[in-house]
Amino acid sequence: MDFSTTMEIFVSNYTLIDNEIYELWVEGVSAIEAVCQLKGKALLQQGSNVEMLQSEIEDHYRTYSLLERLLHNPAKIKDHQLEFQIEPQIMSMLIQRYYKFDDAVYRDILGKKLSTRNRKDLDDLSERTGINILSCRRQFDNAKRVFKVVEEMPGLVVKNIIDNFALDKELAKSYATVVFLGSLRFDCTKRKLQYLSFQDLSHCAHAIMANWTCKEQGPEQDDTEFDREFLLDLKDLRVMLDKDREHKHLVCAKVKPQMLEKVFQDVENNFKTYTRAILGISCGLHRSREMRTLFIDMVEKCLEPWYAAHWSRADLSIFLAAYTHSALEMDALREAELRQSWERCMNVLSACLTCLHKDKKEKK
Amino acid sequence: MTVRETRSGRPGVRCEPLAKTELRKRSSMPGKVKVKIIAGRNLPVMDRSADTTDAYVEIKMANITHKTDVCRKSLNPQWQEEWHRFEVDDTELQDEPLQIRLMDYDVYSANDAIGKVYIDLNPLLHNSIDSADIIPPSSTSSKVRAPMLGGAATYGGWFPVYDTMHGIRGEVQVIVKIELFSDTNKFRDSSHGIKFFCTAGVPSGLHALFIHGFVEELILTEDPEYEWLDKIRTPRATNEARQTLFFKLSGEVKRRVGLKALEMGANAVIGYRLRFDLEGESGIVARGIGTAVTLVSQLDASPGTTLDDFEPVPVLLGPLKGCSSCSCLLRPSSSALSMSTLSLIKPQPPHLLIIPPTPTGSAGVSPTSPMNPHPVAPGSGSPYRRQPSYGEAISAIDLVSLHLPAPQNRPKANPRSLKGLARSLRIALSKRFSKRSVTELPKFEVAYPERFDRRHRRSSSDPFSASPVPRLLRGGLTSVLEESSPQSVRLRSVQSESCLSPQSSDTSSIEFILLPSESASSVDSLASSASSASELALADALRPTDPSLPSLHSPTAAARGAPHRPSVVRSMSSNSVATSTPPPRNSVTGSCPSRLPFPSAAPGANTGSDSADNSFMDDEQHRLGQSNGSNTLSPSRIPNNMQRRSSDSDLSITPKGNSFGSTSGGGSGNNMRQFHRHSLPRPILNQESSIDLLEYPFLTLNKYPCGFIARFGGMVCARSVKLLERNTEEPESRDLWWHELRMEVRSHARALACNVVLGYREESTINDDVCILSASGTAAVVNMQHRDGHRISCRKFKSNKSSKKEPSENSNVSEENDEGKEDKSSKILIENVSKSRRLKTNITDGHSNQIPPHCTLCHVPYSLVNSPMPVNAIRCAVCKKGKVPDVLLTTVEPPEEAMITGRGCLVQVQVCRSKKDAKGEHNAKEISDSLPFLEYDMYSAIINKLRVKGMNSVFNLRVSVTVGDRLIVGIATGTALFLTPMPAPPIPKLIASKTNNSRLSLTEVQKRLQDACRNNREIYGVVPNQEKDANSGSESEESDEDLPALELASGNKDACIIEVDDGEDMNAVNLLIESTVPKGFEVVNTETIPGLAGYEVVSSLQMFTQVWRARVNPCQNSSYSASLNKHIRRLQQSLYFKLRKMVPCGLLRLRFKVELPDADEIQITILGMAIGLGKIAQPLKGSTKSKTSRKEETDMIFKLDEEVATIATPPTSKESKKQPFYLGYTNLLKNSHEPPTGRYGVDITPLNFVPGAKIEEYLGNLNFFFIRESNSIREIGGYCNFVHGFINELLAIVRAHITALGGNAMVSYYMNEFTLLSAAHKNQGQCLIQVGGDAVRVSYSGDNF
Repeated sequence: MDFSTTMEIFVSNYTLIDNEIYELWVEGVSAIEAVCQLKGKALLQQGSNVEMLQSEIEDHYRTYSLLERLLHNPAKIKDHQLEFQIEPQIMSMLIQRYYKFDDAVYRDILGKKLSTRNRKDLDDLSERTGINILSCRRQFDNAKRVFKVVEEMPGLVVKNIIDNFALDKELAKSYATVVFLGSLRFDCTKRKLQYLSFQDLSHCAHAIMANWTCKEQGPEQDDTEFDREFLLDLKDLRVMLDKDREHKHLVCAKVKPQMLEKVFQDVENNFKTYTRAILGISCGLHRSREMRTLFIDMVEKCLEPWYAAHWSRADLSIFLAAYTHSALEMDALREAELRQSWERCMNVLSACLTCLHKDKKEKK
Repeated sequence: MTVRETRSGRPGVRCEPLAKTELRKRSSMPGKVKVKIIAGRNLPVMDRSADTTDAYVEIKMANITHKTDVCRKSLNPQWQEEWHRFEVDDTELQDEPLQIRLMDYDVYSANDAIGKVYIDLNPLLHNSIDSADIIPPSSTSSKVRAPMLGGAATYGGWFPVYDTMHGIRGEVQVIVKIELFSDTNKFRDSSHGIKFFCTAGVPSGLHALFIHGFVEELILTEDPEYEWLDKIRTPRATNEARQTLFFKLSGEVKRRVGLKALEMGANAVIGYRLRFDLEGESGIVARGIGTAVTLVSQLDASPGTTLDDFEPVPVLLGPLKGCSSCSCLLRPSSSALSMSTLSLIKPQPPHLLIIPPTPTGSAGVSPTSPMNPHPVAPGSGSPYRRQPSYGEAISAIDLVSLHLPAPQNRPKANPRSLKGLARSLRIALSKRFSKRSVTELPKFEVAYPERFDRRHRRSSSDPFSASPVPRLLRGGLTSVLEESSPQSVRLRSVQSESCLSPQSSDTSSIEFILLPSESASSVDSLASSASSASELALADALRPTDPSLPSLHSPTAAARGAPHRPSVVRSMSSNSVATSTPPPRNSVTGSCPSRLPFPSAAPGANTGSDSADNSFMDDEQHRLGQSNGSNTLSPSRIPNNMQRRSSDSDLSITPKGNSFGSTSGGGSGNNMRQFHRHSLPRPILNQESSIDLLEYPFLTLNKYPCGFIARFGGMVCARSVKLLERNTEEPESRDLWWHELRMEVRSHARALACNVVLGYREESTINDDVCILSASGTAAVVNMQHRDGHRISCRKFKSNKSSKKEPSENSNVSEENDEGKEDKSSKILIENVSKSRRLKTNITDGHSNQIPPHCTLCHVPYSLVNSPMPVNAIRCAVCKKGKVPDVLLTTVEPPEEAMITGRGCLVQVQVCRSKKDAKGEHNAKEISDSLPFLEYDMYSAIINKLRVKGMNSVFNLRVSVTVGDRLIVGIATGTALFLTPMPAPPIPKLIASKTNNSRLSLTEVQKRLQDACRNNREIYGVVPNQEKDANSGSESEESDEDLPALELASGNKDACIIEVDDGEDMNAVNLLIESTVPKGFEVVNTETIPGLAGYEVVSSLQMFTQVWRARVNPCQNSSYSASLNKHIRRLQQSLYFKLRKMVPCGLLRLRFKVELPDADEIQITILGMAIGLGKIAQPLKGSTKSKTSRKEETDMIFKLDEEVATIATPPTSKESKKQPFYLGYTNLLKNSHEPPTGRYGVDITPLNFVPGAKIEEYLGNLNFFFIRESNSIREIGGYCNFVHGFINELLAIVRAHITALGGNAMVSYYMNEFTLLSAAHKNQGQCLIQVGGDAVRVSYSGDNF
């Protein structure tokens, strides 16, 4: 007589969590692979064999898959779920790990519609990045879930995410990026933008959220909504186009001591082009199509000429700082509102441009 | 539409028609249940289109339903309504769960159910009554006030909403309160105030003032699953109907058990076990057993209170409703008895014990080893000496007992009445009996005339007797009794359509012909003739001479004019006490006018009556016999000779034979009586040990206060195989079945000269329509008057009684044996008397304030020479005086005072046999034929394993047998220990009978075996004390009187030879060698780790459930048992592996359950508790805090077990200290666990305590039965996920209920039923689980209080 096991389960009152196995599970490693990966270490134990390890891993996997349903709604379960007896700090850890993501994956879905169609494309991504497809899907679903919950919700997106998903601040910020860029459909997929990492874009997104959205306290507060009034005000910056000479002087004066001669020459020679590009972007922001193409515009209109002129990032930040401050000294921006708009606009643009600018090496 | 609108409007009350209960209610104690539904959360989306839910709540109590408003479009609804009030009957409060159902309101379609919450209100019933109200009526005169045992005042919190198809779907916040009016009515149906504990010991912080005895209840009902309605209703509806039914049954059984406890004067039931037998089409049987006790909180139990303040309640219970003693009174014949006399009466067992002419001789050391003459037994002193008897493995008794109905004289023979007689006799010789060599069979002789008379009288004079007949007919049975002569009767019963052949499993189908031959006994004609062969009967006969009972006798005698009257009375009384079950459904009750005042009594009698013996049994028996189809008499004619009986060993005999049973109460009564004869002027009631008046002297506890147990007799067990009849069943038949078994167990215990059965439990397993019932326990002699700090006393039981018992039995035995024996027995008598004296002193010593570990526990309580089975008894290694057996098997926890050498460890054997796939009767026959061999294998294996481990006793032994279509699996699990007073077991030697080619491997195996032995001895620190043995030999010379016995016993004590004839034997030997437990683990199935040194139990880590299921692939070359063994070992190893991070840890309370759900499937469930071990701290500052807290615990009756572990060892471990068990691998142990300072969440443990914590309060006993079904097994990830998820959800529900009661832990957690039905091809699965335990509030040392 022999037995072929059809079921072997182990359930405990306090839910057992094993960090290593959980990690593997989150990464989408199948139970069998997990056995292979952990075999070496676990089998140091006397009297154990692969079968036991497998049974243990399967127990954990089952537990996690039961847990997964709850993890989709973490804030609710964190404090008062009854189904699993897990200490709050461990639960919190589980949540963070579950919502952990790979930059590559989230970079890929940035600005994309989180539709089922796109979910299918994850296969390619998985192949490209070597990240397990299950993990890709989990991340995609996480993003989608967060997106769905937070998108329409008034208030600050990061706070909303923290409240609803019990995520760490950092993690919440990343999800905020996904939500923000996603809901406003920023175009991040162009080839020319491919060199940008998720973190780069996230940085930009937060700069935009911090400056261009409805952040004032009040019922209207929502940092996934642009401050339309402000964007319309930016049209008035057009006056700067005519004052480019004055502006150039002020800038050059400021920049000269800090820059290499060669770069300085470039500034002097091409200032008009540059200021046109920057102001062009700023003035068009009230049109949502132009807003969506903000990143590609910045790259094409601003960064590429600078690359061509071999500006370093340091040069760029010196220039942008000077550019921003000089304008404030001009009469054209005497009006307080306009000054404010300029500052808000340039804060973001400076931040984005410096962030997006990669030195050759970085750009690889 | 309009209707829907009202639904959504204000909560309306829908009153359903009043239940019948309302009408029949004699006294209703209305209670007010107030329910507040506050909010819900995390509800599922029920409206897909809107992704939301419109939830409302239906609250149902009994037949009244309230509703809340609909909370629209929210997954987290807030209702915040006023209280919903229900006014309900007191019985409903206990029987009916509060049902809270969450619904989703739909405008256009029917409203959908989201899920349900069941709330058992029983835990609330304790606190809501003032303690004064719950004083049991019987004890009102006493000054004892029922203590507040604690309990929850409100039941409130978040409860998971459970749906049988979807599992947990959100939670609902509910608060429940109860207002009760006090109930002073004695005739009430409810048993509020009786507190229930699963805990099989005295709950910590409480004192057991009295132990009243065994209480049981059984309800049989239809299973909704098998109603035709099931065809047209949804699985959900069916599942919920079942769940609701299970809750109701659990409430009802509890109420009725409580009622019995109340009648006994108890205020609590401990060791309560609730079981459901799912018998398929024949219904569901709900069984509850427990031990009724009077508990007081420790503070209340002031030393000042004396026992005398308390009345021996059970005895006085007669007048109470439902007490069957009333029924006795009612009988015209016995009406002369007054209650008080009743109380005086010792139950007299009118039964016969037949002892095989060739008594096997020396007293049984191990009760488990009934007899030698087994074919298997190799010649001299082989290990197999201990053979389980057929049918019941452990019965220590070779005796077959027949119960003669108590004598009642009427000189007319009534054929019908004979049926009753037949029943009484059907008892039959047990199978083992039959298997024994023919020569051993005693002649069976019975005198009839009287019997007939009695019968006749019955039928004529007694209103009852009439009723049985129609019933009988209805039942479809007719039994024809042929009377050849008054002296010799032939009993033939013709059976109805059911046509059970004698071989059928039905016990009742057995009959014999009784030939009255020479009446051997001189005493009185009836009794004597009947009892010529019986010892006990004699005792009965002697009874009248008992000085204490004169008053009794006279009236009865007068009435009857029969000399043996008293015995009748006694038996009746005993019976009455025992059988007082008031099952309302018994129709018979109503029919007899005489019993009307005490309606419940009649049924009680009924239920208990299967035992053939009692005086009024006869008519009852008719009734019973006929009433249940199952008990039909088989048509087979019975040959006159018993031997024939014996030769056709059929299943039916097995159970019956032992069921002796009819000696209700009688058996014990007998003993008692005997005692009293010796004991002097019997003082008064309270002096009396009422336990002997009980029909079932059983205690369901596993753990007893120190000093309670005087001696262990050994394990006793009985099994019977029954055929379930479809649609014709009545609860009485089940009662009968169990009654038979209990009787048998009791008789076994008695044969071991023990007065109680401890650690008693009942199990059943069902395969198709065959049901195996098992009852087991540990026969023991207890000190009813022992000291433990304060005076705790169970009903008094004089210590000398127990000792006196031996002589009494001896006398009986001697008389019944043939003349040749007589000299000897008389000698023994003397011997025993002296011995008993000695015993007495021992015991009294034991009563001194502190009970030091002592050896008397292990001494055999029975006389060696007359023991019903061969036993190796040796002088006690400690006191050098008493005799101890070489092996002791018990079903209880090791007592604190036991002297232990070394540590305990888990010992387990698995035996697996194949069986033909048969149906019905054939199946039953197949099974019962197989059982004896299975048990034999199990016991011999366990004894051998014990030897390999170097141990000599097993505690908490659980033997379970499971039957499947093609397999029978037996599994025995226990904790092996070395008891210091008992001899070290010999190392097994292998012998090949023939010189065959396996010579080489033999020596190899032998070597491995010896290595294993040596290894085990070292690991567990078991040092055989050889020198001591030698000493004892010399000393023993001085203790004169035992000399002859010694010679008898000492024959082959060292030998342990295992004969190896073929590969199969070799396999068996290989199984003896177990892989060792990994370092850092201590594995036992008890509550403590006996003998643990250097470490202590400090914290609870994890309760776990492991389920393993496999497909069985038949395969030729390996034996079933071996491969099963292999897999269980593997399971255990895998358990260790999973818990490897917790070392050093102990695995306690390991329970193994095997199920054979399908022809080719096997399932094993392991439930256990991992606890953290900490090094015993040196008295440093750090540990003082925890030390003090532990000190407090010492004051409790049951010390927390770390105390036990540490205290128990020092005296014994003097020698063993040399081997610090952990020394070897201290390096490996990185850390030791610290006592917890608090704990997150709810701790659930199968233990009776929470390690590292102190139980502040018991909040109530919870039982749950849940069903989960799924039609999308694949989608949820297969059966593993399905079951895993379900268990997880169950635990969550249990935790929520504990929290709602204000608790933070559950002790004595159990999981009884675990059934998984799978239909993989249909993608379906259904799982049923029963769990429960005691909700408690505990505090940790770190908590600030």
